[in-house]
Formats: sequence, C-alpha cells, structure tokens
Amino acid sequence: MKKWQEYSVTFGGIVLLFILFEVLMAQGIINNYVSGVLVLIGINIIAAASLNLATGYLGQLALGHAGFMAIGAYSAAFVMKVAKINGFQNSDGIVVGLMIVALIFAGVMAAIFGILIGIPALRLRGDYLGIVTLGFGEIIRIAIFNLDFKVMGFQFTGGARGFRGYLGYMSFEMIFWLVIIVLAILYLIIRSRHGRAILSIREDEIAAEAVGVPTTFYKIFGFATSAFFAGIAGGCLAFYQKMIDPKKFTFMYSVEIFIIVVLGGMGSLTGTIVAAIILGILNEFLHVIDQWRLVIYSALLIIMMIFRPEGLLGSKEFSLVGLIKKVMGKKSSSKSSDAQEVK
Amino acid sequence: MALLETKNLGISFGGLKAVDEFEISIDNHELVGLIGPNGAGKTTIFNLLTGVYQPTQGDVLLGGESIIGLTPNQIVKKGLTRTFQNIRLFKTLTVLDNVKIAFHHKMTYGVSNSILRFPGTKYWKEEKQIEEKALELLALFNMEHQAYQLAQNLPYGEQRKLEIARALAAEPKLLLLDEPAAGMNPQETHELMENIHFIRNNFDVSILLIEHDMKLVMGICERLIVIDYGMIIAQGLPEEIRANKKVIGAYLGN
Repeated sequence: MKKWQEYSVTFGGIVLLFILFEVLMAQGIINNYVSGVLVLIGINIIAAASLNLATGYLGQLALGHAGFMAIGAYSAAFVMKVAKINGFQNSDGIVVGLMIVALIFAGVMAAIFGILIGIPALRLRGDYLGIVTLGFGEIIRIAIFNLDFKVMGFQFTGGARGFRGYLGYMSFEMIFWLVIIVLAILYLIIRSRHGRAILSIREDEIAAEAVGVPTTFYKIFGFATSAFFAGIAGGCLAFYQKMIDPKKFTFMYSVEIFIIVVLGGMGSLTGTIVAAIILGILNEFLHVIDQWRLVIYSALLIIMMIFRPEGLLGSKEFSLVGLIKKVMGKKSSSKSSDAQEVK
Repeated sequence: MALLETKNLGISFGGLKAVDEFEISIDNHELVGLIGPNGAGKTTIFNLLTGVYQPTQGDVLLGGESIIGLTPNQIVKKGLTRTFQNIRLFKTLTVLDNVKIAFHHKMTYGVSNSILRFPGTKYWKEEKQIEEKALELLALFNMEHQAYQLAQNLPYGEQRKLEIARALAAEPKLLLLDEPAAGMNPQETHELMENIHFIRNNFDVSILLIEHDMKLVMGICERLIVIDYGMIIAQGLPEEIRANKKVIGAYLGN
C-alpha cells in the first residue's frame, strides 16, 4: 500500500467514527451529559498527548504541564474577553474563527513560556528536571492567582475569584476534530527527521550529539511543542467551562495528566487516547467518592507497574492500516517504520 | 595539508594535567592507532577532539580549520565522528532508524514540511533518499536483513558493527574508534579487523583508533602513537613501537 493510500484509509476510519458519534447523538444515545464527558476526555487527550511528546518521546520528566495549560487558558480567555468587549456575541459565526485565533495565541504563549523555562531547566535530567518543572508549574499558578490588574477596562486575571465573562464554547464536534488535528501533527512530527532526533535524545543523548543531532535545540523544540499543545488544551478547557478557576491548575492536575501518559504507554499516542478514555469514564463513576479518586489512581498505577510496566500499549501505536493488513492475512512485516501496530 | 592536526593540545582537571603537549597530525586515508596503558588519557584525547571537553591549552585543526569551541554536533558536520568504548546505540529503535538518525544533518526539510507532506515536496525526496542510503550502508556490512530489528536485540559483535556503520553514515573524513574490539572474542575481533580494512578500502576516510588488543593494533595500523600520563612517549611504525624501550617500560614498568 502506498503512503497516501494508508493516510486515506486512516482518515476514512476517523470520518466513520465521527459519523458514528453523530448518529448516536442524533438518536439521543449520547445525551448532553455524556457529550460533556467526551469533551473533557478530548481535552485530556490533547493535554496528555502533548505531555507524551516531552516525557514519552523526548524522555524528559516534566511535571509542570498544568502550568502551561493555565497560561493557555488565560491567554485564550483574554482574547475572547477582548472580543466580547468589542461587541461580538457567541451567536456570531465569526466567533469560531476568533476561537481558532485565540487557541493559536494560547499555544504560542504557552510555547514562549516553554522556551523560557526550557532553556535553564533542560540542563537538568531526570528527577531534578521533574522538580524544577514542578516548581515552575506552581510559580505560574500562584502568579496568576495573585495577579489582578485592570486592562482594557476589565480585571485580568481576576485573581482567586477566577476569570469569567468571555466568549467561547466547546462542542463535541469541535473537540473531536481538534483532537484529530493535534494528534496528527504530533504523529507527523514524530515520524520525521525531527522526531527521530527527539527519539535519539531519549535513547542516548551523548550518542545523539555524537552523530550530529543538535540536542540542545531539539530538547527545547520538543519541550516548546509540548507546551504549545498544552496551551491549546488549556484554551479548550477555558472555552468549555466558561470560567477559569486558578485553583484547578495545581500540581495534582499535572499528575493526573502524567498518569494518563504512563498508563497509556510512554511513547504511544494511541495509548494516550485509550488511557484518557478509561480514566475519563472512571472519573465519572468516582465523583461520588471524590476524596478516594487519587487513591484509586495510585492503586491502578501499582497494579499496572506489576503486570504491564510499559503501559497499556507500550511504545506501540494502534494503526487501522496495520489492523486491515493483519485481517487480510498479509502478515505485515513492519517494513516501514510507520506501520508499527498493536501486538 | 594534514587532515587533522593538534598543536600543543592539553587539558587539566583542577591541578591534574590529563593530557599535555599532545601533537599529532593525521593525513588523508591513514589508519593510526593510539595506544597506552590504562588511564593514560586516550579517551580524554578523543573527548577533546570531538568537543566533549574543551581543552585548556592548544588547538585542534580539522582540514586546516580550528574546531575549538564548537559543540560536538557541529564537529560532526565538519567531518569527524566517533564510536564509544561502551556501546551507545539507540537501543529501542530499529537498526535502520539508528543509521537514519546519523543522516540528520544531511537533510534540510523543515518542521512545516514534516507536518504538511504534500506530494513532491522535499520530505518525500529526502526520506526516500536516506532510506536507500541507509539500507545500502547496512548492506555493505551485511546487516540489511536485520534492518527492522531493534538495536538492543543484536548480538554484541553486530552492535559494535552497527555503531561503526552509524558513525560512517554521517560521512566523516576522520573516524575515531574507541576500543572497537573491547569485549569481543577472537573470532569477532578477526571480523572487526576485516571490517576496518574494508572501511579503509571503500570509504574515503582516515581512522584513528584506540585499542588494547595488540594483535589487532599491530595487524592493521600503519602508524602508532603511544601515550602515557597524557604525554606522547613514542610514535612510529608498529615494528618500531614493539621494540621501543619507553613503551615496554610504560606497559611493564621499568
């Protein structure tokens, strides 16, 4: 099969999945509550997939992801607040366009902070990097918490009261395609010379440098790209919740996203999807015993460490093309590096 | 003009002079051995040449151009690559990907091209090109049937071979081999010698190698440099070195 044929098959599969969701929604099988849960799962997929780039592929332990999401959330909300002041309304068609602009702005802002934090922090490795990123995440949150100034006639960021009164919304359709776009971009970056450079840093930084990979550049590039998509995830969260509570972006939120990555498999985007869905559904049932949620998460992780330490999918990717080839009996010898499939 | 020239090269760690007054010159297409007792500073010299350490004195000229102050990856681009004493492969990547990564600096397509892969763009051209080149290189080393295996699943000798192939993929003018025969049995060492001969005859490359296996060193090197306590104590043909009093003294004690 040629590359473009493989891409078309995958795209066809995604469209079918989308139609299936639409039909289920039209039939009322997926009600408003369930589609809300799906949106939150979608946001978690974007956040966790972006963290997977930094942690799973680049191999750098980053524990400040919620910080980047917070920057994204406030940046996106800021743009939409300005839009509201200028007389736009949610019912205007142009708001979707504005939201796209706001999300890109959110990503760029988060990426800028990613670069600023990455340059000093990425000199460290392992646990030390984890501690520093954790610290930066907290600094961002606390700074926002205490920041409250008047700009263009409104209070930004609203401090502890939270930030509200901006335009924007998040429907299932929007998050579905956003997830697809983000995952596709991440996948395409990983399966390119840049992705190979990123993987080589995870495998052996000294060897990567010794074969001509500019490791410092790619570490910061990977970290900033990760922050970019975290910012977009944060923006989506802001649009969906219609108000931002700074208390949401704590260390525990970073850990929750980290758990999705670890559970799904470091270095597997499809694994991240599976883990985000499982934990998203689990979350809904655990609302009743909210204080036990993290205990159950930890138990889950311990069980996984014993039985499947590499995560649900390890570093494999589920691929529709690979599955079809398998079903058709053509034992796809993993000839192209793109055709890694589930065992 | 010599391919590689060092002038009064030296480095000290605190008060310890690990390498001092190190002056060599390697011509195109030479095969030079660097030997010396344990702790003599051989690997330190490699680290100085490849930019891992910055020398505290002296200069390194590659093709007449100073490479002091460049980062290791910039030095690779100038045409100097190395292998490591303890094998450093990208273990959980395939053999083919290991080689492909070494072509990184030969490729030019940008991030936007890797996301927007329109037909006919540089991405497809370059990816196809390096896939062919990498397979060709692996075929030269009789490894093409292992191309899609994970590097960590290769036998020890093959891992060594892959590391050398990867270093050659970066198309160096000078290849530094740090104890390529370490941990090999006589059969594997013999194969390695053949491979080094083969590289010399088929690639336009000079080789500087560190080795403790005297059979290998005496068998293939055209010229030897002996160091002890960070200083050159003898240089010359293998036969001359074999008879040199200072060298025997350094290895066995006076």
